[in-house]
Amino acid sequence: MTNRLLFVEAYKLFKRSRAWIGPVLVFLLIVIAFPLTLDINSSNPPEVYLSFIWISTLVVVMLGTELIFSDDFEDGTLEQHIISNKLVEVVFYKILVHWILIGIPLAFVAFLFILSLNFSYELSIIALISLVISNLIFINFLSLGNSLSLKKGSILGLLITIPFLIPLLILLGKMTSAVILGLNFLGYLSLLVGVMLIVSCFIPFIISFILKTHLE
Amino acid sequence: MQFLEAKNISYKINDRNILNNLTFKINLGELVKISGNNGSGKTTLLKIILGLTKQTKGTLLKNSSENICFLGHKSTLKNYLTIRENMFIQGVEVNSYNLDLLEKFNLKRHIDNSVGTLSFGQQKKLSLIRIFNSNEKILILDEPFVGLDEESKEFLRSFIESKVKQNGTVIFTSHIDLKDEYREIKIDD
Repeated sequence: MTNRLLFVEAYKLFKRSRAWIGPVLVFLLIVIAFPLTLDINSSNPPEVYLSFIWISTLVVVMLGTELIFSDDFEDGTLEQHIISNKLVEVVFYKILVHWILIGIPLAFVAFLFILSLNFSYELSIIALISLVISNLIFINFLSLGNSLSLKKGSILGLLITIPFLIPLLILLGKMTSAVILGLNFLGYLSLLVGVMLIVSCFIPFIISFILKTHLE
Repeated sequence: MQFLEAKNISYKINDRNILNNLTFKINLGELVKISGNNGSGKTTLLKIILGLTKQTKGTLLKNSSENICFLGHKSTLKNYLTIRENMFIQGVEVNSYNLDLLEKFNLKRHIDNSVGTLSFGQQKKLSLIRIFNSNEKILILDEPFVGLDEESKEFLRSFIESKVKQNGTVIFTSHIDLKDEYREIKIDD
């Protein structure tokens, strides 16, 4: 049953190709366009590029998670999940599937972009790992935002949740600086993994509670 | 055996009383019709029974942990998927029984068309296929006959009646009467 629910969520997102190919293509266009807007002779530090990548990833993930619950809410599927006591499970799978089909591909597109900038291999790998992890955190928070504003358009909930992501962006910046300066970055990475685990464990419960409230 | 017992259930929204001190019992194996005028709170009562909404006053005791199959106003169908794919995500096999049902409902020739192209009545018939395949002993159906043609209504009637004969419990809201005996819970405005 568990595997079936996960498979069904993956199937639904996969068949709605615009919802996952769209954000990846938008991100690809952004990373292609960004270097064109810079002076080719200027030597911008890697931090500038990485900050740009994180911010654009956040915006694109926002785009990709916009319909995460609205479809199931409108057609009554969420009601069915509440009746069968499977709502938390389904929320968890939805986030997982969005991470696999949107979060991880975005991280790899960003990785290819970073490689093309001739930064150190170590920095590129760390950036890839941090993107894979941070994208899961982004998806969790943005899903929370979308669940909050399910009946009121996506902006309100996102305005409430995005400020929670600012400390994460600061952490990612600090980690990049540590890698560039050759300092120990493992503490930052551990903190990132810790945040990912906590967020992934608790946010599905909070989202389920909010969705139930919407359906009352 | 008792399925549930409601004592003095009331539901109020924005200072408007929807349900007023309803007291009733539903036994397992019973066929129960919830009737009342439009806006009298039939759907709200079903949602309270399902646990989707909490009553503002009174108690509801459920004595059974049986799974419930629910058909609401919403179709639970995905417009961007075909009939076959919708059946798959709902856990309904495309076997000979269901192909016969699709044929009966005139949906077989649309099996690979997206649900978004179907009419309201066709979508309703498709959502009923999930109900016809349910193994749950308790069915809660909110206006199941709406949007159906006479032939499909007759088929649904006989399905409900056979479910009750097999010791199933069916609670439904409708303006249509069944041939078999049922108990009626009336909600006054």
